[in-house]
Amino acid sequence: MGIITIARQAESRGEALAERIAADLGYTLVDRAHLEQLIQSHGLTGRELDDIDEEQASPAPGPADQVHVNYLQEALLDLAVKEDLVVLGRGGQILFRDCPWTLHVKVVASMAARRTILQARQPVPDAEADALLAEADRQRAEWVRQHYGADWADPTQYDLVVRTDRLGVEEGAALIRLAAEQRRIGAHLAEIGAWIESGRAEGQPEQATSGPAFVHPSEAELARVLDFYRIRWEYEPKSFPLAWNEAGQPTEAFTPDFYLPDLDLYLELTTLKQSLVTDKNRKVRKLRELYPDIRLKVFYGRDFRSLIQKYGVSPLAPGSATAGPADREARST
Amino acid sequence: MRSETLGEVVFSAEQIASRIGELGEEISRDYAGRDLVLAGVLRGAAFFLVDLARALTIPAAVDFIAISSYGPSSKASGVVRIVKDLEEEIAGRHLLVVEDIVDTGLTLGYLLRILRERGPASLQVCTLLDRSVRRIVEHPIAYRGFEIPDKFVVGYGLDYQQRYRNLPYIALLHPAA
Repeated sequence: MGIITIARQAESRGEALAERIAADLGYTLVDRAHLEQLIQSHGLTGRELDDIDEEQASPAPGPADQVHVNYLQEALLDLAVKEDLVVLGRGGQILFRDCPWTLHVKVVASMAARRTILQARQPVPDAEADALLAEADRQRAEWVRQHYGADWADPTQYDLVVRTDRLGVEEGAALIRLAAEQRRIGAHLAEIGAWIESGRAEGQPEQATSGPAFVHPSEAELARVLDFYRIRWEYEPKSFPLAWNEAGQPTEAFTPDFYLPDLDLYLELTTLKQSLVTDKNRKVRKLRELYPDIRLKVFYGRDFRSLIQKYGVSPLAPGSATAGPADREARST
Repeated sequence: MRSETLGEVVFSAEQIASRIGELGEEISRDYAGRDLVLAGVLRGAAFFLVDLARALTIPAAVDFIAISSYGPSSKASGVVRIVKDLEEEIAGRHLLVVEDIVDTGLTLGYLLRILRERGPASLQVCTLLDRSVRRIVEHPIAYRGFEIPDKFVVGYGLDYQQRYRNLPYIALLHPAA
């Protein structure tokens, strides 16, 4: 199986080219209509698709945006192990950037040609048409930047740039077919599956494994659990001074392990011995006195171990009456 | 050879039946005259939902939803998702999500976020067990069977490696000594 991703400037005939390639090669075209079906199978509707539309990038994307983009990525990855794909837009060239069995194409055309296409559908003066095209491209670039941190205009993201006002759809499609054959991207279902399973797709949740250096393995595991449930987290993002010297400099501080920005909640996990918990309790009490508006949840020893073990990670602590069996289904939360 | 052993009964079949009867009365009163949909979260809530539905004195649609689970092999599957969706259209209807147990609130948070988007007239939660000591994501719980401490329990829908769900009571499960 192979994947051809097509990014396109607005009104550059990228859609027509994608349709033609998909028809010529017998690949499945993943465009907006197809995505609506996929998204619905993941429990979302067309309304949510609007939230993740690359032509409607939010000025300040919220957590819901990211959740929906995660759906989109998951849906695309699911599909990629089953069918040959032509992925139109949606940052496909980034999602599958390092996948060997792909061809990343950018479709462009001159401003004059794009303006003509736009004006055939929407009769507006040249200047307004140019502004609309520039804005549409800006939205696409912004969407890719927000969700993948990548530069949509960077030519090194693409294996091939096709200029349709010179080549047209026919010649452009022929060129893409030739490039796909040269790269031998077809018939790699198992390899693409393994590649996705290994978590190497861009944007796949891997914050816990590639993120900060955790002090304790259980913290890394909790981070993975939070990733799974699409809860954004920050690791030790802030220290709260608890005592100061005469010069006003902090002499004691408390740094909770996690901050969950969408919940405005700090999490503190401890696997300390009981003798050391007393000091931590004192700090927690002091933090609550000094910062009454801070929401902090503390998981102590056994509570924390059973919480983590619930997710099937660590072996059971023998004889621990409160520890949960290690691989219980973790759905019932 | 089983490595774990069943411990003491936490809630007997009679206690569960009695509490479900009370919940049924309460829900029947609150939802009288409303178009109620009970959405059981598979697999654990199946037992509870069936008994709860039979304790209602008002009409209600019954449906189920299932989502993927986190586990040792979850890295490859990425993020939580719906595995089996509701069959019922819930827009404009009164949806009551029925859970076997709520503890961290992570799963429930995901479910409520998804279901809220579908525009139900109201969205409430009914759980048989509430283990609030583990709560990370807070949710209002309209109907609660029992509050339980941080102990591992099985039975009446709750499993360990897909076993024990069929117990008519809820009991502690101990690891091997």
